[in-house]
Amino acid sequence: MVPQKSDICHPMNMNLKRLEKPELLAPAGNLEKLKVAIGHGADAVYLGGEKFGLRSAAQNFSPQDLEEGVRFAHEHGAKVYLVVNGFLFDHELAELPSYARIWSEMGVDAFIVSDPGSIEVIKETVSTPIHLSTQASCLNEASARFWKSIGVKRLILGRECSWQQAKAIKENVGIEVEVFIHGALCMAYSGHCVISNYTQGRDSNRGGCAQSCRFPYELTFENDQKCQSTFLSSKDLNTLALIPALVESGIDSLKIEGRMKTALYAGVTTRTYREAIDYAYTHSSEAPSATNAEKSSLWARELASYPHREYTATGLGGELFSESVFAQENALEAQTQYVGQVLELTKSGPVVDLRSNLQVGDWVELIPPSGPILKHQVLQLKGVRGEEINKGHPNQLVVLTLVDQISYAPLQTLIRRAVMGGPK
Amino acid sequence: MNQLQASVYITDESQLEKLQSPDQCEIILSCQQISAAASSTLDKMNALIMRAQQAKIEKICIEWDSLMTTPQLRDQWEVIISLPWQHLYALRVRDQGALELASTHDQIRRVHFLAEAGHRNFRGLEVYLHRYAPKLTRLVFSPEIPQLQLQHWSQHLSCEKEILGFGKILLFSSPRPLLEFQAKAQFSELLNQAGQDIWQAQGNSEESPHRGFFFFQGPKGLLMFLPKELSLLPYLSEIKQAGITHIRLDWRFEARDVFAEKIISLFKNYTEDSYLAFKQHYPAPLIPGFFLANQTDRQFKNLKNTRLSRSGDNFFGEVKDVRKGEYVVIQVGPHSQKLPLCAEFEFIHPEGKKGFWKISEWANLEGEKITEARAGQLIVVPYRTQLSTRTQLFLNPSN
Repeated sequence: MVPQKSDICHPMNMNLKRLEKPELLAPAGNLEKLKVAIGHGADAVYLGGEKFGLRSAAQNFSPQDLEEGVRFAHEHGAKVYLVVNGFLFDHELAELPSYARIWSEMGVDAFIVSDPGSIEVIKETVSTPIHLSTQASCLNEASARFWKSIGVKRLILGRECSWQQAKAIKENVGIEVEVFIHGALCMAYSGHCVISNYTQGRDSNRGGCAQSCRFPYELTFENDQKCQSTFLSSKDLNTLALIPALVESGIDSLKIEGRMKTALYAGVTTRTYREAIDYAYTHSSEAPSATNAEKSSLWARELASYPHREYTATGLGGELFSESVFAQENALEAQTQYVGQVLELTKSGPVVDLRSNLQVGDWVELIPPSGPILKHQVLQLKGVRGEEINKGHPNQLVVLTLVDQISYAPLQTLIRRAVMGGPK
Repeated sequence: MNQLQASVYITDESQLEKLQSPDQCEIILSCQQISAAASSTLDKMNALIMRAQQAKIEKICIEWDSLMTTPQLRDQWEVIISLPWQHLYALRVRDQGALELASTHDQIRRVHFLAEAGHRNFRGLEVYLHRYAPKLTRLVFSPEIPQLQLQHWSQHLSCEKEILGFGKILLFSSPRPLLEFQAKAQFSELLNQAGQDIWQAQGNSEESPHRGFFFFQGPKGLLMFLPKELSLLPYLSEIKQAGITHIRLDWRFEARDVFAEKIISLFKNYTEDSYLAFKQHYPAPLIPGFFLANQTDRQFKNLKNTRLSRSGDNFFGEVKDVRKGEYVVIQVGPHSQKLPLCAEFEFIHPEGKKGFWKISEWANLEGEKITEARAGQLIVVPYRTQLSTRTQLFLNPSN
């Protein structure tokens, strides 16, 4: 069939043909979250091993977990990036080759690294691609040229870069770029804060950040005027509204922050951005429509459902205005609660690994990896041997019997308490 | 032993006059257009350059310590190349992009790289020297690097080596004008105030063991400093011994320049008595920072996660549910497993208690007896005491 002229010459169509869909990169604080994130649509996950990362308090991955995680990811067509972005001292760098070899043999798809020394050592040891951590605060094209020259394949740009600047870096330097699209933000340039080092004896840049920027401070200005404020605390990033522009920009990877957060966060955030990216990719030539607005509103509600600070798109969306300050001490309360995750399917119903109490009569929402979120009432709870129970507790397995008994509750389905209870 | 030279910040003409033998001094100048820590304007910096030349100071360095997005880099580079480089000794940069640009500019003869944040190993420093020598003539090390490590680096790096010897310790830098936001939000009379370039405040938090953090905000963003200040003046011979060639003396904030003369005097002729007297009058506690030992390095090991699970070659699975007196549910680990009757396992309770367990019967969730399980499968076994969820099971190698 001869292509119509309009197919060929319409600039939007030409643009679409050229564009790759950006990778959706999700946090995997442990094996459970890895499976949830991939199940809910992540193209890749990033995770920390036993050493050299920035999240000492996260569960992280033992070699066995990592091996299983990589296998699971690859079986599902997803990639695994291993975070090695602590600022390493000489004696730690000496240990890196043996770890890099093991991780590389396991099939890790890239290392996320933050300093030239680690890059050199990894390059000498294995051929696994290297991504530059946001900790290196690479913000401009000239800096990007430096990192490219020493072997970096992808830059995870500093969160001070706008998406337009990120796009320009990719195009003008010829290097893959990755940007954060969601999650907590540092107010400081990443990698340039040592408050914890000097005030708590914990190295902020090697896993010991004490979150001193979230503290309230009493400020005394030069004229002796005083005020109390959490002025160093940043709102959380949410760039849902920028997704169409990001998809069209050609930016290679869109990253969700939050390895320390729950499996529900990993699943819901990944699923929401998955839908938003896919929608933007297939509808980029369309004018804004009611459907579009309806979906955006639904996605926004999803991202508001778990605990978070107020949202901002600042940084990626443009100037770093005052609206990025989170003027409260605590995060906003969750509108819902994580109930658990489907671990296995039996003839009697889905087996759920509970994370909070659940009792007969509760209304829950089932969030499958794809497809609509389903609201159900719990009709009956059973133990795995079929014994009836009235109430399930955290860290217990229960078999659910629901109103409109469904067969569709695949593995990695997440369950949360229904926001508004049951239908009125 | 090498000669240790001082490098001092100059923000005012009067400070030039306080320098003893100014012709032997190296001075650092900067301005608001290229540094978050500077309070001088570009005009004032140019005037200081002229004045320093008149004072026969040969080593006039310009500090361009911004981190920049591409448009900011472009704008600030215009400022840099407008400077009279024929009279200037070196350009000091922090951003790798600035280093990249400066290294290709003919008139800039020397570049000093502020390898402070994020540079904690020798291999990384070598990378910069290989790429930018001979123009890269100096590396400025982080105050978090202890003496022994400095010594090791200095022996093997051919360039000049600099550390902060006296001054405020920078904790945090942000491009956001956070003090200004705060002041204008709190004090309505400031709301329409325009043209104030510099904002300063003291800050205390009940959640921090320290009192009196100093905040400084210029047009390029906000800096936060530790209430205690760094002084390595008592360790000058150790610094020389470590191979450091330059020590930086910083009195830019909170009118500390009134102590400039005394600090220089102590640098040139240190005595314990004069230092003790100086310390008594100095308005902030003075500490050696991490020069003697890097506490954060030790802490990193302590912080390492002790909750790591599922490690070891014999890992079999993890307990997911325990119904007292009835059954235990185990989730099989990453590999499929044969399920021999009466196999013995070692278990590790989440609280660390260990024990052995012979399992005599295996069933799937449908209640059917099984002899094999796939990776990740839930299997039901008879109850045993001393177990709870998250107990890990390991195959006993003697099975």
